[in-house]
Amino acid sequence: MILDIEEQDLKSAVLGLVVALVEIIQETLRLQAIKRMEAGSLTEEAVERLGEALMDLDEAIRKMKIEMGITESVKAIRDGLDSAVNEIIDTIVPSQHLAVQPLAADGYYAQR
Amino acid sequence: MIQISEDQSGLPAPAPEKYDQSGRYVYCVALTGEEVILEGAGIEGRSVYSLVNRGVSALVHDCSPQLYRPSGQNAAAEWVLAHHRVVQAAWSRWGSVLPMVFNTIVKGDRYNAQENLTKWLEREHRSLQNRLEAFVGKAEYGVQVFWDPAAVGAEVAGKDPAIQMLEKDIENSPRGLAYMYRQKLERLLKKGLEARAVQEMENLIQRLNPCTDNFRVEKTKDGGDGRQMLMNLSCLVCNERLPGLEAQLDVLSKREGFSVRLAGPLPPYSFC
Amino acid sequence: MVDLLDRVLDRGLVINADIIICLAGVPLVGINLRAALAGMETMGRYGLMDQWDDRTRLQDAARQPAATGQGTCNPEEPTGSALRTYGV
Repeated sequence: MILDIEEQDLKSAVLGLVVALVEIIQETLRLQAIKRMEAGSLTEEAVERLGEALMDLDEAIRKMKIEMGITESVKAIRDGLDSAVNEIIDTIVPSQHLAVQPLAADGYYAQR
Repeated sequence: MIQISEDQSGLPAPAPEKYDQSGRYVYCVALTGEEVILEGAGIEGRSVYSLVNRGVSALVHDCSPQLYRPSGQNAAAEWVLAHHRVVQAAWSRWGSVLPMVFNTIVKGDRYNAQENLTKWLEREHRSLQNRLEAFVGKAEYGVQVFWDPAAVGAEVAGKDPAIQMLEKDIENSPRGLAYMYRQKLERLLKKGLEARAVQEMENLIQRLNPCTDNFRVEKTKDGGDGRQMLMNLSCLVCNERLPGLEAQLDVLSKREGFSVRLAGPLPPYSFC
Repeated sequence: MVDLLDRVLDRGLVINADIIICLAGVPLVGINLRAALAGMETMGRYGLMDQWDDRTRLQDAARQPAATGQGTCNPEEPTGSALRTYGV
């Protein structure tokens, strides 16, 4: 049995984990930074760099959340495609090549 | 007038505390130092007033210090709308509000609710003021883009050589084989549409990003009537950028198989 | 209407302090209630307030009769406003 793991499902799961993790890291960093800043143990330069690093993390998280949103939306699209696809196929391929034979009166498929 | 609620949540209803109005229901925080009273404007006709702290105020009404439970569907609707009405009114009057999450009620402990709320306003003053000032001249809009996958799919099929080949194969094959080919065609089409969906979404975001101050990608819902919701966005848009956004959406809505719905302007619920 | 509902119920500023009454883990507005709210016809009867008379009273452009409920609304109170969505 081959597991058909949909790419989008995998992507969605991984993204979710990464975002959760990065947010925790970011919050920890932020708290540490504030503590040390208030204790006076950071130079102005260091504070500036930390600030920028946290801003970068913010931006990275934001981008990942957008990516997650897209992935979720695509999954929803995929799940709703069945009827649309049938409709398309009916228009692009002449139907007699694909027609299911109607049941004969006695319930069996009619002779070809 | 206190209602004994139907149990909506599986918890026992709290004992009625008719005369205890020590709680404060908070509608929003607004960029203002004005002291106002709005009689009868709030939920269940309560009077709403501003609790001012140095240029940043909370709009509240007095209530018993327990969660509101609607006593029925109509009551719930009234409640939601009354809440939004107050937020909306504050927004149009003072230009910037931070709506509170629904059913925010401040209680008293060592200090009474009024003191607790005032202290919170003071503690958060800088942050609240910064955020409120950042929201001046901006509004939230809901952007929903729909597509008709059948229409777009026909285009996708027309451009994909593998699909073209399969079409021919099906025409020239006996039924059994044609059936198998059809399965393959289905898969190819689905993959193609999926890829196209991703492309359209990324394209859309690229175009709309410069038209917004911020945006969130929301969950899509059922489009209905054969359409699918391709993308559901909450956008924070300043007044200057709005025409640009509308222009982009206009162009998009004219494309074959695409339609757009724009809801707003709304106070910035999603960007608090 | 649904656009507004989701936002009002789910979004907004959260006061992260223990001065708030909340029941952790219990959805304040259940899914069924939300669905019922979304479908309700009474929603259409409310109109958006355009003006606000500042000193004391909130004036309503069109006074609508209160939706019948289980007596939660004082029928003399103005019941307010409509929500517009702009179709493109």
